[in-house]
Amino acid sequence: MPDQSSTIPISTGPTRALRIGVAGPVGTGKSSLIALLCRELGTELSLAVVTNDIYTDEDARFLRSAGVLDPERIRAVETGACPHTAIRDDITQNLLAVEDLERDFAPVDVVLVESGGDNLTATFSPALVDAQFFVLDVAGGGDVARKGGPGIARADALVVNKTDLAPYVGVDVAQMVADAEQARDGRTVLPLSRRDPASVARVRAWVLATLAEFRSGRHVAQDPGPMAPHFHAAEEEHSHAGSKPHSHAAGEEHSHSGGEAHTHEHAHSH
Amino acid sequence: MTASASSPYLSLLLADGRLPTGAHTQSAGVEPALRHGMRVDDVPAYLRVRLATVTEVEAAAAVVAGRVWTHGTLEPARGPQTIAALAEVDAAWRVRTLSDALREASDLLGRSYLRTAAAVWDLVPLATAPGPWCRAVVLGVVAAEAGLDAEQTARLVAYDDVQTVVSAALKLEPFDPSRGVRWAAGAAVAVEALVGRVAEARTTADVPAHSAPLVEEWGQRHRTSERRLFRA
Repeated sequence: MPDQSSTIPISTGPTRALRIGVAGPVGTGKSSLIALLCRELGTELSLAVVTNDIYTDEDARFLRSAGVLDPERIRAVETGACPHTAIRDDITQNLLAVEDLERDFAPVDVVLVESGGDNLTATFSPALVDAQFFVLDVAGGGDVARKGGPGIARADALVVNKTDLAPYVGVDVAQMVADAEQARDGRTVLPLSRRDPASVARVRAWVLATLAEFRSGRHVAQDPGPMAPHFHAAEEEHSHAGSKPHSHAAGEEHSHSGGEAHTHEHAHSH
Repeated sequence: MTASASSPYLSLLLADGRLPTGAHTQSAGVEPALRHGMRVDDVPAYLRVRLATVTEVEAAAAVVAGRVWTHGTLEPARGPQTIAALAEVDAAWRVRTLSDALREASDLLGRSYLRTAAAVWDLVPLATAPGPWCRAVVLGVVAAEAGLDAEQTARLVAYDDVQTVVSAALKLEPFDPSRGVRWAAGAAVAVEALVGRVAEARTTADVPAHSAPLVEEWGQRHRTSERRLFRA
């Protein structure tokens, strides 16, 4: 007989860590982003990492060898060749890994959950993470951001990584960022190169702002959605904006709360 | 243990691979078996071996755990004595499973299963007792709480094992999926024989001590193997 009192409560607020997902296609720099965050925030915050790999602990081993975090705080989850399922549908093993880390290293401020590099459609369930990065890189082509997808369009923050490679792969970073901002209706876009300290500072600030929002109890986890959104032709902008007032309101509030992280006001030029 | 009116339906629910318990991360040993040279054509024989050995042990432990849980309801309230008896069943399964890698994989599945089921059924005090609990105990308790009888519980354990093997094999060495369905259907006789052997298990002494040394050895080696897709 169903008994609500036996339901395992989903705790919110400062009693548990902020859980941030890192999704995106293979090779765009998810592990590197996590290593960068550990380096940038590891001294002021208590961090932990869960990796989901196609081939088990490849990413976990990369992060451990990077020496940016106590290896004990990095754990790998097997996905049975279903990285998408493990972060979106049956999130049980990931939840257990996150909760174990929060318990073993209490208090943990932020748990970073890396998805197994899948394709453009894989995003995290809001029941697993409170916020998520979606990572693209310029080497994947300048048109990827424009093509869209749930992660590109509606993840809490879109990282356009490896901007320092743009001259070598013939990508116009400003155009790619503008395309991404148009696809995202002004949600946060973070161009990133680990060689560009200002870009690193913006990513760092976004995490800290999201943590502050989470601790205040105002943060609401958003689902980027399971399917690719319709193509954002210019003439569809208005009908699209009108059809999803709630998610847009939440998205704007969120990115504005990011303060200095939200540096691309020209996104609203459409 | 008498089956409840809704137990046929709930049996299907609990046996469904879409039940969110993290089962998609498991291969019931077929990944290490294939890695160590077993041919995919031997999957039907592999199923028979498991159903005659490790799966029968697990099913018997689940049946005993279910009886413990059901009898607990006859007490004024389920309490420490229920947990102590379940701990005995848990230990009985544990001493019959040599590989600590396989015991740990079972513990993880037990936690996942309990996490999901405790949000649906009233599983206190098991849900609040310190673990780890092997999958057999958790599954037996959940099945009993859902109203399944001993035969349904044993069949659930056996079916889950068969489908875990077949679906993992399909992912590892893709073949015409209908072939896998034929294997699963063909296991029916062995599954029902298993059900007949364990349905009357009432105490830990009734849990058989079969062992499948290669399954254990492969399971043990799998823990340190690189580039694996499945946990166990």
